Amino acid sequence: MTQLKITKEAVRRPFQKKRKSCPFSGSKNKIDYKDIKTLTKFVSERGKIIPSRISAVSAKKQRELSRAIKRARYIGLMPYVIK
Amino acid sequence: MPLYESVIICRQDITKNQLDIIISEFKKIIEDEKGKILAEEYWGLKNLAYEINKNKKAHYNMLIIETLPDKIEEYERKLRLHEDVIRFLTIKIKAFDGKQSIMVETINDGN
Repeated sequence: MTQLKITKEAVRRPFQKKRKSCPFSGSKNKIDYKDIKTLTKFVSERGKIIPSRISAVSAKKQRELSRAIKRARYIGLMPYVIK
Repeated sequence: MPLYESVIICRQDITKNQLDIIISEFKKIIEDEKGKILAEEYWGLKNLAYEINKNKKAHYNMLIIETLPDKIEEYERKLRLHEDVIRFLTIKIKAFDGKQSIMVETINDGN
């Protein structure tokens, strides 16, 4: 019976990317809507926010990040869309 | 009293002293109501990422304000009425560490 369980599990997770650590976990740099240099790292080349499953950012930091990016966009420091 | 961080964005074709008059006007509004301006910064005439009311560039100012919430409402109402201010953003901050914001450092070594 256990034989079946193992095969099922192996099939369900065929591709498991190395769990990257959250870039904000170690360093103390606070997420701020004013420092555009760090914010642009988490925006795609079309100006869209990169999802946390790709940028491996923790959920709490991703919420802070998106709030900061939206504020930076509102005051014209970051574009809404890059043609 | 709560702390606020207010970014004021003025349109591009006003002169520097006109801008100083506008900013001192808003500082006076806060100080008249027993509020305090803890810090004030001028980030310069920056290029906007997108056009705001036909402006390609804009003057950026930032004020760190300590005042009562209803005074901030009055301050924002005046900001809305002012025709040279094209956009503003005031957010509540927990603490102010007195350091200059990142924008000022990028300007000093940037230009």
